[in-house]
Amino acid sequence: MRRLRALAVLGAALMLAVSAAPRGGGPIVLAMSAAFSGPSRGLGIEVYRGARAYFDEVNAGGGVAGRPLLLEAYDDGYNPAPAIYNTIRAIEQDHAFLLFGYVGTPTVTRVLPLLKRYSDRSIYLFFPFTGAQPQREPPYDGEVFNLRASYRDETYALVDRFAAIGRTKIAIFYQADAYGRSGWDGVRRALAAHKLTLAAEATYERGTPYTAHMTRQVEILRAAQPDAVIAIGAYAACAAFIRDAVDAGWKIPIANVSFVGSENMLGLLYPEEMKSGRDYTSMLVNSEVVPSYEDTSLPAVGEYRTLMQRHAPQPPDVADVKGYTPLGYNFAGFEGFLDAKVIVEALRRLNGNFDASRLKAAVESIHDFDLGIDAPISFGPDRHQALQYVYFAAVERGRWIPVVDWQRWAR
Amino acid sequence: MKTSRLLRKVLAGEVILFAAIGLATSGIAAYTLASRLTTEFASKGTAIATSIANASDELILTRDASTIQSLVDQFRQIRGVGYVFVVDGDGTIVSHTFVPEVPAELRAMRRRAWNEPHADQVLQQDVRIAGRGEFIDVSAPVLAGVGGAVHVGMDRGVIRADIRSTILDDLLVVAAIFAGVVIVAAAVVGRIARPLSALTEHALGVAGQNLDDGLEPDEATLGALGQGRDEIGDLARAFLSMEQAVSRQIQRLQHLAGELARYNETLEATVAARTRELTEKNAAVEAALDELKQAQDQIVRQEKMASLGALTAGIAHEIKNPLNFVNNFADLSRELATELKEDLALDGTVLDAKIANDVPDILSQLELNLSKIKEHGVRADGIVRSMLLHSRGGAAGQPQPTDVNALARDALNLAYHGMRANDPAFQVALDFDLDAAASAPIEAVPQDLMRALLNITNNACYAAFHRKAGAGGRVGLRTRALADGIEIRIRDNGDGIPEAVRARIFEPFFTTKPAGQGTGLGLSISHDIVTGRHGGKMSVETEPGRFTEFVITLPNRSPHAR
Repeated sequence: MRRLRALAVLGAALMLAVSAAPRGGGPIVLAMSAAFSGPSRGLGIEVYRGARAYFDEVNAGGGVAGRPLLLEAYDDGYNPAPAIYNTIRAIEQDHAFLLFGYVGTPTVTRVLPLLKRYSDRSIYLFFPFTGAQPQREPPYDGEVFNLRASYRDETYALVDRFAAIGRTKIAIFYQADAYGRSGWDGVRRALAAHKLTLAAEATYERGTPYTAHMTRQVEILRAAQPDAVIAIGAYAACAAFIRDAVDAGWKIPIANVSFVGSENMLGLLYPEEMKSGRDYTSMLVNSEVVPSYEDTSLPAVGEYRTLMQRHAPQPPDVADVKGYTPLGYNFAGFEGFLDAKVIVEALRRLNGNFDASRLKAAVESIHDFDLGIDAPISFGPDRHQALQYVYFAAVERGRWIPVVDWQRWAR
Repeated sequence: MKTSRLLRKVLAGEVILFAAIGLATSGIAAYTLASRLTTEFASKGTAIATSIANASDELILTRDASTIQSLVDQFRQIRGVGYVFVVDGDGTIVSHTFVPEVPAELRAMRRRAWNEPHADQVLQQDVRIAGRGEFIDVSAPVLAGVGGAVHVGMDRGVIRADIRSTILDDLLVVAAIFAGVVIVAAAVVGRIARPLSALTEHALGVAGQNLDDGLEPDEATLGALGQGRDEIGDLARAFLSMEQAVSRQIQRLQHLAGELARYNETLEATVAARTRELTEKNAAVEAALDELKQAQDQIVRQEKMASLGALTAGIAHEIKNPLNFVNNFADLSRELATELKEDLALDGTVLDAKIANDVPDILSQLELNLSKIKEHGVRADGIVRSMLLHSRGGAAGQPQPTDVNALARDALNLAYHGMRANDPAFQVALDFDLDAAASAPIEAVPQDLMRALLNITNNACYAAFHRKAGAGGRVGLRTRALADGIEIRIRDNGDGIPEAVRARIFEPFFTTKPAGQGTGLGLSISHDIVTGRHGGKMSVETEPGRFTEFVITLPNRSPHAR
């Protein structure tokens, strides 16, 4: 029913598109399985909203070659099994043209074999919101196109930066699953490059809410007296860890990777800081894979902000929105927006011939495409990874701002 | 309705049976499950570890750790799998499922070198992890160990939980069957117990009846119950025939009881009569015994008297001859004196006038004296005769009309004079108070009565003379004519008779006089004469220091007078 209502909304846009472009057809379905419920729902919802801002704009302009774009959302709650089922349903039942904007490592890594299964139908996964390695390596690198930099890129960058300011004893706090393991693997490799090893490690269970206690993990890591902690987790658990570390009087730089959902995490910590007067945020430094949406010097930032204002996209009907307030501009949303922008470019390159088997070549034909983030992107038969840039953000007066000086965290 | 005892017994049996079944099946189930599940879990762990190990040789060496983590995570949800972790060739744990960290017990777990025996085999070992419990750690080597190893921990807690829930299920099933059996048993036992309790109630009713009134066999109830073809029917029929038999026996018993009651009555009457007879005989025997005792006393007395009688007879015999001489010569002397007087009167012998005048007077006086001698001689003779008679135990003299006044006066005078003759100093005053009416003759044996009176008067004179108060002794004789007899009272003012002595005074040979002065026979003989021979009474009244008075009552007619 919900989806029917979403179709009705899109139907209005479709009528406009049809009138503007007589060469019509059915909508092009982009299937998106992500966390729309549970502790990581913020990521799914914001990626969706950022993408919808751009798709709505495209559809308002008649779609692609007269075909409206339908972003079909499926909730997997950040769990592998529903992600697999959603994917099969999207392909078999909803005739998805492509898979777009999946969120989460444990979910995506399990969906990958399905791409092999449906390779005869030329089903590709575009721009999953995860930096894990499996979709960037054989045997799946051919079926997946990645826009964002990998966790390995992020962890290398973080370790390099910490090492540069003398923080060489690195401990890791990570989610006990493929995502956490991916970050763990990246940190370990980065340290190995510096001939260092992990000082300590502690895990938490995927789906742990902010209300849970992380004191045990704080104790385990603190016992090793590290110089910095890199957290590979979701925002609720990481915020809980940061809260308990600060509450324990542990003053140490804590870095999170892009997947954490920086604004969602800040949404938990900042009110706490305002309330208690404790400093939960000044020692935070997060790595990001898209530029800061505060950097309005970038054309894409302006575009993103304009379209968000114009279309004010709502969470999908499948989302559990109870108690959730959609964020303003944010990294995840901006990434979703950029993802949408690239896929629309790819679809346009089909020139109205929406034959799935032509999609791969169309994407791979993108060279030095200016996305508006001062970083032209290129794809090719041997290049399914577009970006490698890692950005850093820190909190200032309750907002994430680009980091210009790492010396503030020097020993 | 109270619970049937039979049902309770059956239930108790079932409880025990089902408890035993429950325990036995639970125990067997627990034992079997423990070994089977352990084997099962171990083989499950082996399968998982082997499959991960086989799949991960290439992954460990060439791929990002998240790939193998993704693989490992797929097995976490399998039941019984407590943990999975993968060690690479360097001994680093590259994937695991622990939160918040890998337990120290597992970090310390020794790696097997490739050249150790069975290095390429799956190894099982028991691990206890603090705070997590016990696990069967199954480790499968990757590339014979050089590529690392995959460890799968099978949770023994799950095995225990399985055993617990299985036992619980088992017990629930047993309990359900038990409940079913209880219901069935209640129904079956009810079918058995209802006629049984009807029978029981009937039996209790019979037991509560007063069977003295007879027993009416309840053929209605028992006949209905006896329709049953089972043991209860048999029981009911048996009960009915038993009641009939009992009823007959009761009638017989009632008949016998009636007869017995009649026999009893007769027996009681007989016993009462016999008892009465016996009582009467007893009384007779007691009376006879009393008489016998009296007779015995009499015999003793007579025995004493007999010996005394023999003595007396001898004495009396010796005295008789001199008395005869006295009497005969007194007669002869009186005849001579009479003859002399006649001669004097006839011959006119001249005698001095004075002598002549005196001779007749002297003769007369002589005659008179001789008469007196004769009189008393005769009397002495009578006494001796009566002594002889008395000593022989028979009546010496024949009863004759006797003047009691004269007899009593003579006796006192004789006693008095007898005493004076013996002792010139003897002096007592005599008082006579004789009722003229008592002179009327009564039938008595005078000699005997005289002896009795003499005895009493002798004693009285002795007592009056020897009294401690000194001179002034008096002896009084008083007679009174009664309507049917005569009363004689002889009283002295002597020392009286002490209480201790009084009961014995009529006993033979009892005396208070100094030795030689009394025989002790006097009062005994006197009492015998008065009571035995004359049918009278003799009693004594006395007050020590003042007086003694003997009272003799004689009837008008002596029993021996007839």
